[in-house]
Amino acid sequence: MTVLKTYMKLLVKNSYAVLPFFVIFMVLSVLIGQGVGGGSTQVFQATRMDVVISSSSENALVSDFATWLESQGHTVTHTMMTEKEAREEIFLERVQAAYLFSDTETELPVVLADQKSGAGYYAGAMAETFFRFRDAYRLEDGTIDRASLFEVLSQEMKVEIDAPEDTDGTESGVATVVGSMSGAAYVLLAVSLSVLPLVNEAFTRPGVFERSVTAPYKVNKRVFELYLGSGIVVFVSAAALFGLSFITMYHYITPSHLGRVAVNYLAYVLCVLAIGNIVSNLTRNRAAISAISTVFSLGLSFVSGAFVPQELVSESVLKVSKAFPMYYYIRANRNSLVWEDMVPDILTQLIFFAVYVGVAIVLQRFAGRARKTIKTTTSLASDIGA
Amino acid sequence: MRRFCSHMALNAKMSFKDKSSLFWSFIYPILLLTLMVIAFSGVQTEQKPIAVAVEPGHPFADVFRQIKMLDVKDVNGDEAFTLLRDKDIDGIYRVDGVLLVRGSGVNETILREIGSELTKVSSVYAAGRSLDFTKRYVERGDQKEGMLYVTLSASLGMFALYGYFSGVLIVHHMQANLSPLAARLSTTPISRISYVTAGLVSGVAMSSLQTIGLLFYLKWVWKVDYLADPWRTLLLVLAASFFGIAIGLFIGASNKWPLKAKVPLGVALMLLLSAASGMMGPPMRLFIENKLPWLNRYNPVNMISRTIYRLNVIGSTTEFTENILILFIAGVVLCVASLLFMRKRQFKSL
Amino acid sequence: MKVCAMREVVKRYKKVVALDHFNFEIKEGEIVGLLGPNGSGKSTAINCLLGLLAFDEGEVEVFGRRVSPDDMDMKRRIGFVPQDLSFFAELSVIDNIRYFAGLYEQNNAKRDEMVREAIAFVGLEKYGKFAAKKLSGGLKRRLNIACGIAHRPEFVMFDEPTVAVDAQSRNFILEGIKEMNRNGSTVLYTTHYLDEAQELCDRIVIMDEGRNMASGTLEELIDLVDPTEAVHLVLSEPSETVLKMIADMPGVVDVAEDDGKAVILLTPPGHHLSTLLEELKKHEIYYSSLHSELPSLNDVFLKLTGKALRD
Repeated sequence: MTVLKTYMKLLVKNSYAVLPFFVIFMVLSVLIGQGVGGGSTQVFQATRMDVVISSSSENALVSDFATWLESQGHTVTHTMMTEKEAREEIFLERVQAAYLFSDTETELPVVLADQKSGAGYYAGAMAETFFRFRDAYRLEDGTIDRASLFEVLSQEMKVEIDAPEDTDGTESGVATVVGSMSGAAYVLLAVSLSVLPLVNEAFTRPGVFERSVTAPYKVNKRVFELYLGSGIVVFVSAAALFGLSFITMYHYITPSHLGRVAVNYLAYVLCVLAIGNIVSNLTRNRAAISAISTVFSLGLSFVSGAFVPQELVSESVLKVSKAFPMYYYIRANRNSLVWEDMVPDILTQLIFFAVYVGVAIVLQRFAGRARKTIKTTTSLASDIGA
Repeated sequence: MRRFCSHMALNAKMSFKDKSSLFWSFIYPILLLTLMVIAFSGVQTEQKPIAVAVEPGHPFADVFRQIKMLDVKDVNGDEAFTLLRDKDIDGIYRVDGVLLVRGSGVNETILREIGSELTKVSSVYAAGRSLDFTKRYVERGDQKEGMLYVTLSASLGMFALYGYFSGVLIVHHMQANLSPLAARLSTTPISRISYVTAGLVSGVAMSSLQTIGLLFYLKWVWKVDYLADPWRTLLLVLAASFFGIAIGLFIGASNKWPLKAKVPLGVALMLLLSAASGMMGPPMRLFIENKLPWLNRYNPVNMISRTIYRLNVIGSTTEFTENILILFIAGVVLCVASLLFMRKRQFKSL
Repeated sequence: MKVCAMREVVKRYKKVVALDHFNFEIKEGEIVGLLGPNGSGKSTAINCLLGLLAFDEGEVEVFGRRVSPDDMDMKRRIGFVPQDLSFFAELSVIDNIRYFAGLYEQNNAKRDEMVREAIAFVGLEKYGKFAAKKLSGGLKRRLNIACGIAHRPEFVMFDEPTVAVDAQSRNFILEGIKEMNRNGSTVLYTTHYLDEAQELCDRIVIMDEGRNMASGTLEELIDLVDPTEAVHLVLSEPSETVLKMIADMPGVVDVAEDDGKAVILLTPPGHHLSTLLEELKKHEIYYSSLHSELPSLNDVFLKLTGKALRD
């Protein structure tokens, strides 16, 4: 176990470069998970918005509109603000929409929102509906038949949530799982891609590798211990991240749901381990390791939908992300209510793992052959004297 | 002055000749921004027509087909249920007047809103009244508040602080106990103030150049205009670069960690701050805004990204002066503290 | 005139004593070698002289003034060639030397003249535009030296400048240092190579465990130990009688037989070999080979510290 012990010692020696990185990323993982935490109800809840109504004077129109919005469950702030101020409120995400009423009756109220978004459409549709119906209940003397208006407006279509018999858990539980476990996936990839190549770099430095090969220590044993070392790093990090994610998830998921998520996570962890070993074989330059780790982990997480729901990522980008296991890992989490729905994605990840292991072995052999070639063309004296 | 210029020239040359520095300053930001724009631009934030199934015989079946926001699928029975469970449709308008959905989201809410409105319309006509569908009742004012804008501005905020690396490097050239080169330079009649100031000036110039380059890249290549208010934006970029270098100086001078520890620390710290500012999607930023509002108020990445957005997208100067002053004063404080740390010239060990 | 002096200097790194009441001085125009094994305190002594390292006790003076890290006048007069390669790896050879020379000389014409001289001095004329990081190990060492001496310092400190350097570069470096000294620079040279110290230095200070074990010229140091010249003689007909005859010859203090060879110790060294040869001829004692060994620094070091220098 000499190689493994040295691996662990090198890990400790490199801890100054890794530890702050690791701690900060753990915090990040918790934050990503917290950011998407959801409720646990199975009863349909319409989207509730925070809106602001701006008008210089209190009139019946504004007041009725505010009353109706509140009756729909929205949080309404009634104040006087300029368009710029309203935009600021939307930008700060304090409100999703602003209704700006002018002083004159002739000017139409403005619905300020991101019109391309669902929330923007909803905010506009609500206002259109209210004013159209209000117009319909205008009496001959110009007043509004408020009682009839509000009676009609209170009519809502009944909504039921479909809960198939084979599901275990809730949609909100799935949202939490996807958020937390995606964060963990990103952090695990970033940490593994930094730490594994960094430690492996020490073992493959010129001279060290040759000495190791020429020493009477079985090659298979040495390689096995190196893999074991990297496995320990990845699995311990993965366990720590799973623990942190569990803190976020445990309110929302059932034990069997957690079990399915854990199996999916295990498949992903294997892929990360293999990718880490591939990167270790590809580069021995510390600066390149840092660059590859940051760009690859962050880039892949973006395109695979780790930070935003996959349906929001454009189709062409998703096609690219399908070439990597993270996409299937996240999709499996999104389907984690039903085991059968997850199985294909978990199997796909295992296939990726097998392919990556094959690539890592080929790279390792190729690297070994390249070294042998160099050795025959250069003097052995440099090694002996090193 | 001549020495000051030679220090500046040295720093500039080093920045341009160091591949690693070029990668982190130019290639990496462009790579990341390109990835973000490709991932989030175009269709993703736009509300697409909502896929829905309508059971045969539904009283509003024909009306649903005429609504642009709906993408009515001609399926029924078990097939519709399968589509719902596979998330290929968001709901089923059942013939009994009930809307069947899989969860609670914006799409489901819009489906209910459309269904409810049709129910209300029937009631209005039943009451002998009529609705005017030709009349406009509201104006729609757009605000680009998509994920792309949040993530891009947060990333720009992060990159604006990448002067951090120059700051750390300046200290590692000056503090004799941090590198052999610094030990050598300490034996020469070099003026620390001159070297640090020159490094600061060239660092601010390089970092600002990098951020401005990114702003132009976004504007010209991806048509994302964060240069609508160029002068204020330039001032903000300068203040941000100065602050970034000041953090680098402070972290560089306040401890004996090697450079290879301070660099990943900087990368990770910036990522954390930018994630809190919304780089990894708005939910995390919202979580911080709700639970720890003070954190994001003084999170430098968030201060910079908000101000860039405000200035150039909503044309607002809110918090502009305040944020510039905070960045500048905090930068000065950090620089002074760093110089105090660097004042020590004889060390217990090298 | 004394260029530098260290008196009773004590420097501790926690429990390890790096300099233990260390004393030494250098006079103007000398090349002084600080000789000692790795970890003996040579670099610590230099760093104290440079004002980089704080020490616990004692006094350190350079050019007659107490060392201070703020003494710019002192810094202008000294040069330092550190053991570690210390230059800007990304910049070219010329840019590096120009930058370091520019820290001392602001006049462009004079500075460029310094740069030209320094490049010629270390023989890097062909590599002026090469990026420093692309140079070979030996050439990097030469650049490391050029950056430290370009400003024509009065007093230069070399901290093991030939570590891991090929023989050609090493000779180049040593010749250069001699040339500098001839041009008026005082040199402090630390090394753990005996031959370098013997070849280069006017005076040698032997250090071990932070102490000044002995100092003086090579001859003075050899005189400190029991000096003998060892003559190895392969005798044609070795016998007890022959050995006895040799033992009675003038200058011989001891004779021993070692596997057919006679090992004869003569004292004082360097004076009795010709007499010995005449005596052997006179007594018709025949030999097939003869080899004489004068006392070396290693003998001095072994005697003073109880260990060989490379230990």
